[in-house]
Amino acid sequence: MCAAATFENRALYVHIPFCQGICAYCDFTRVRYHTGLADQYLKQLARELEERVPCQGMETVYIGGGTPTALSPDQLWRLLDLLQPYLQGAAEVTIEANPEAINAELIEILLNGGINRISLGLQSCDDEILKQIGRRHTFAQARQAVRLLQQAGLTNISCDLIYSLPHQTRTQWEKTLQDVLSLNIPHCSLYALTIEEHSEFGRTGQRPLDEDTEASMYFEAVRVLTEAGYQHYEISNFAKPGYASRHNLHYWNYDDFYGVGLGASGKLSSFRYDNTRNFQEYFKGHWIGETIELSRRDQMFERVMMNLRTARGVSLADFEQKFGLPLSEVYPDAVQKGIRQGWLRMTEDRLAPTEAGMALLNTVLEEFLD
Amino acid sequence: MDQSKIRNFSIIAHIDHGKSTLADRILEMTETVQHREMVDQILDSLDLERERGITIKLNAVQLKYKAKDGEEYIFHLIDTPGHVDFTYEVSRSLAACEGAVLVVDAAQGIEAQTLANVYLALDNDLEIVPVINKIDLPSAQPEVVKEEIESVIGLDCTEAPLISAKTGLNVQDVLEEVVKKIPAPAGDPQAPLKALVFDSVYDSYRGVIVFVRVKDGRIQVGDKIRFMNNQAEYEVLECGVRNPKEVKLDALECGEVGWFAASIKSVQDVSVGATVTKADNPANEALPGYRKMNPMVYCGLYPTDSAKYNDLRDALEKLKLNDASLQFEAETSQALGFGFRCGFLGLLHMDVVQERLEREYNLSLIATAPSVIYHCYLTDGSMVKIDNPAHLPEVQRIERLEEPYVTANIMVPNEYIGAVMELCQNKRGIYKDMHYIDANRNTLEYEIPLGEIVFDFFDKLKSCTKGYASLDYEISEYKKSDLVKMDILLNGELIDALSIIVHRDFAYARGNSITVKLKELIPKQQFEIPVQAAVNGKIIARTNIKSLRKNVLAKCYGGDISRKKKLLEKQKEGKKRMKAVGSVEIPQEAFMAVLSMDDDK
Repeated sequence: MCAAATFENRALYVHIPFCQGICAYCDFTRVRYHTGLADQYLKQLARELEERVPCQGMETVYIGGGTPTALSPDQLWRLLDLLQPYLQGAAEVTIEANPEAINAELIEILLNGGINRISLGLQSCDDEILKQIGRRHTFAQARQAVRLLQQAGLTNISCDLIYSLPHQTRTQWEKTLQDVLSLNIPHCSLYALTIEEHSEFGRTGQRPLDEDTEASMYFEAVRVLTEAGYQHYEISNFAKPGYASRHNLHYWNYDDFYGVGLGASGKLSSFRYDNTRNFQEYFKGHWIGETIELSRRDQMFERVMMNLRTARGVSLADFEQKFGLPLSEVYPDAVQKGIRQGWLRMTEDRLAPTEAGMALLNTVLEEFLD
Repeated sequence: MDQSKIRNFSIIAHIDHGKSTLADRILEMTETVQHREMVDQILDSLDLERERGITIKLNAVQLKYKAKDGEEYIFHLIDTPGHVDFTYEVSRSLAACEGAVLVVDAAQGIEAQTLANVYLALDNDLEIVPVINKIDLPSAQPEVVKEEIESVIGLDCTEAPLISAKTGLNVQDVLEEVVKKIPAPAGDPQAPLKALVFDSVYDSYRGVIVFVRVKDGRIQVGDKIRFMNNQAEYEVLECGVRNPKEVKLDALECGEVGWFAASIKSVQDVSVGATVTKADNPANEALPGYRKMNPMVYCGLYPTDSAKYNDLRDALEKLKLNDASLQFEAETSQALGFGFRCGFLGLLHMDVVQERLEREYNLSLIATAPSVIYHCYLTDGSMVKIDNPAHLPEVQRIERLEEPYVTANIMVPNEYIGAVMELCQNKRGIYKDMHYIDANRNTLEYEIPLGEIVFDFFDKLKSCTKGYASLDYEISEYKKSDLVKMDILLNGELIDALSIIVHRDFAYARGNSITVKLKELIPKQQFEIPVQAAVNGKIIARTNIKSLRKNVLAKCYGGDISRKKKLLEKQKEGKKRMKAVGSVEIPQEAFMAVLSMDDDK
């Protein structure tokens, strides 16, 4: 049974919490893959979808994890099958995949299942570093995976990279950037390492590189990628024209979205929910762990916080239409200070971050907090 | 009550020799505390005490003990702090007792503070009952330690109980020794009331609760009492003992240790060491009271939020109530605004006061680096005492500077003598003497500037001797030193709260380590900040805090919104705990930077 989709909410996130192995930097909701557990999980996921998500009119669907490709071919097929009603007419359907999982059989399942975008967990192009952080592929494998996908017509590929890793040098990072350019893919996401308390890095007391080196690596990446024709459309995201992630833009536009699966989050007008991270609870059908009601003030701040991550920034008209007040009246000091410091610029219809402002967004946003 | 059945005693020991554990066992064995109520180390009632495993505040409990002779005895056990900073508090407890149980670790033997505490007890004419603890340890050498006590202190140890406070082994022997060896209180119940105030606390409902030892006479509910030092008079509304819960009684009898409340709202009226007597039948003269302890270490305490200045004053007044050694007076700093210059017995004392202010009074504080009192002789022949480096007169007006020295006694096993001597030399120590305790251990005597002791001497001593050395010290005299004031400049601005006085020969090294430390502690800001150390206007060290170029969360998707918002709120909260000095935001820890630095680097 399908409930009716509201016009507002056209994005769906599906979480697959399984991995073949656990990477050193990761603290996501994920466990080591186990066949029986995954079977049971897919059954529950089907129930959750049916009960909670209206099945028409999704513009974007994103299957993330964990590692969705950790599922067996048969399970992956089942997953895509149960998602079929939601994929009808969707403009962008992304799945996250690890390079070592890409082969002809998998590509066929993905294509038949309606996937039209792949997000590859590349992380680095340096085999030494890949080993260090617990990845199970080499750069050669990644290159081969990209080639297979492109040959099969799946050319809308993105890759994730991590920088500021323990012991990583700037030279290594520059080399990785050059190697990524040579893959000829239209999108990449670059993340500075954050050492999460519950990751292996956190537990073993690893330290990230110093802030200044991290900043240099970031600015180097911005320079290299924009010179190569990528648009720096979000703090950590770069795309060739027309290839920005439509699904992720829903988050940054502060649109509503559904999230299903263990630990997934969603937002429906003034409510945000986080699903449980506990398998037992999830299997009992107690999907939602926490629901937060957002005040108008919360929503104003969160909209600004998310919008300012993108180069487009906040639409002044949208803001005023949502809240009945102009942005510059709600946050007069923060806006003025941001402009004075060269972090923000105001055009006729938008308040957007400068490159410097993007890099210092936490400092910029602090001024918007009460 | 039969006065001859009362025993008042303290337990004294070097830190970690098991004093609080023994107190717990005694409480258990006298069934004062039921097992199920037992929280480890009951007498350490401040959270801070239990966390740090040290006893700071005094605590007196009444216990009933049925001895082997068939009689029931009333014990008053008064706990004492073990740390060298709190020598004064120990002497306060001891003045309320007739005896002391001396606990010595069977593996460690006599330590510096064992001796210091024994001498305090002897000064107070107390009967000392030696006890050898931790005999369950594999490294225990009870016979060796007994001999050591006999030869070094001269106490007869033939009957010293060999116990394990941890397991409770032979603890009953300690109680029997207390009955046998420690005399009953000698006071005259018929004489006019004389009670010694040895502690007090503030209770918001009942006013000041006064802890007393009744030396002569008795205190009864309804009595009009008078404090002999300031003639303040009150009516006793409640009195009683603690066991350790509060027990109300009609009266405190001669020889007893307990508390009374008299709706005393003015905290200044009660001073520790004062004598309480009756208004209608006063005693002729007061009890001797205490040796007044003077603070040795000073620092500035400032509220991070200037609006909390009066709250800080109130909190300091309440703390002073049971901490007579805490001193404070108002001061202002260009950098920090209005605050107080506070005097402490030592660094631990300073730490404890600061933590209590933050925890119990919910204040956010900035503490400046600790300083000793310098004697500054001016060219016009006068002398000024300097407890705040920022107030040092200009160099042209100074004829000479003197700083306090201590005589430090350091007990150390033979193999670490070299390391300790080197440490003392690095701390400008002057070698005085060395004598053998036994074949394996020596006492080194040095004169060392107090200013060097308060930095990180104790930690360094522990680390260079793997924890085997122990230290005791007392102020000796002021000596002339080649001292200079070192100023710290941030972004070109002199920050008065960061000025320190250092020896000229160490200025360069210390300037370097402070600037490096500040660079680590002060978060990057939107512009580059030069950090400079200067002596007499000349820059001797410099580093730069680079500008902040990137401060943003890498990942922020649908599921990260709450987390991201919390992070930003935390970041903003953190800024509130910083002090904006001129154009630079400085975190609290930065003002203590001079303390934690490592000269060896």
